[in-house]
Amino acid sequence: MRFIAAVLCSICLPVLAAEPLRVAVAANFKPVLQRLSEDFTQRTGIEVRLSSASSGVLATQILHGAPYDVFFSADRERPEALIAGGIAEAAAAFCYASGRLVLVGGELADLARADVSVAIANPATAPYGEAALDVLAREAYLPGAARTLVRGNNVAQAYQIWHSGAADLALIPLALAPAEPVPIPASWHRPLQQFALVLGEGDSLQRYLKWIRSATVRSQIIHAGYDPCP
Amino acid sequence: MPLNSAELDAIYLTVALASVTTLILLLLGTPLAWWLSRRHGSSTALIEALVALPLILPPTVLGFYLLLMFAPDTALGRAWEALTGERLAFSFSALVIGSVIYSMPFVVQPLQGAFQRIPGGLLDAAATLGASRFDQFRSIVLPLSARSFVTAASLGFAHTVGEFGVVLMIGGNIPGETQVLSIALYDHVESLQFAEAHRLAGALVVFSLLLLFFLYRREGPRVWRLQA
Repeated sequence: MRFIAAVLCSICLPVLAAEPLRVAVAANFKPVLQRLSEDFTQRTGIEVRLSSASSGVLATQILHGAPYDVFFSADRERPEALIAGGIAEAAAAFCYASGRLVLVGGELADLARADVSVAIANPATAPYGEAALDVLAREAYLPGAARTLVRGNNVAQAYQIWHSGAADLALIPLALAPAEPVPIPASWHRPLQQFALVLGEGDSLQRYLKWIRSATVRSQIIHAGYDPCP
Repeated sequence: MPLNSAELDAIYLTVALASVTTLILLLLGTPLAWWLSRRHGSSTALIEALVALPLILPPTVLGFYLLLMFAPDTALGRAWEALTGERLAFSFSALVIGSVIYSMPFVVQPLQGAFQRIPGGLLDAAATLGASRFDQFRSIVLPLSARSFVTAASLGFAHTVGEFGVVLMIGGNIPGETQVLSIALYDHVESLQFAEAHRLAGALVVFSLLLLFFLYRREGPRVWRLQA
């Protein structure tokens, strides 16, 4: 099929011939990784292609054979599950950031109100969605249990739902939030230790990983709204 | 309005996917539509129902089954890798297979309708005059159903361009490989890149509207000229 496609549009052959790095990235980290990868491409000439979705969606794709070189998850569990499933070696996982959850659109006290709508990422597939549920389940916010919970496919969509005005509040990653969000104490929810999993091999990939794990990039990641790995 | 390279990739992939899909659908759909138009019974009804199924099923159903079928550890996945050396899951080829199934009714149904309107007596007369089956098809069926071939090809192409759910589930949103226009648009909207989203969405509306406009204009009232 690929052959026929190539014949049909031979001018576009280079598109198919090039072998860029294929990176799966959880939606919370995509804007940051996009900038970092553009820097990397400028320095090395190695093209990086990002595919973004929630960690759960990406892990399912990888389990079904998606050809990614590296997977930046928003949690530790999904890379570990892939290792347990024989997709990668145990040594292939490393922590690259600790995520921080914030509230936008109001005050913490608003979470105790039943007449508001809150946008979160789908807890079934997005670690930030699970963390958001942890926060909402706190005793102080139980009076708001009847609130409308709007689920985006991932944190980017949750943010977009709030941004469009369709939800009053949103619980999203600090890295995606607009200026001056309300911070949520990390002890209020399960840890958001974000692990990457190396799936491919090759020289370009090694250079990319070295760059991602360099001190420069680590400080840029922290600057973008993350905590260092414990 | 300069398009960036990711958008050009998406346009190329979309056009390539729709072209390959339409080509395969015409090759597979023509004999299938002919067979369906000449017979009537339980077996044809079942095939007709299967062909029409993507019209009413949510794309997620097809996407789900294909996702499982295309995995590298399935019989299909293994056979594909052994034959082509490429992995099937989340590849362009996987999108083509999904699109062929998903756009099948849009090609088969117009052709079947056209074939059914061809009087059987005409073919019998041609056979009496010594025309082979192929001659009959080429000199009677093709000219009489030419318009429907254009309709079928256009609808198959347009519907493949308009696909979203299946390609999202089995394509995996990989730029330059499986990220077609509808997926690139979804990506832009999710990333709040509304300027880019407007560009792609606007272009898709204009393209689809123009295609349907020309299709409906040239279709006009159906007049079948059968005189010699």
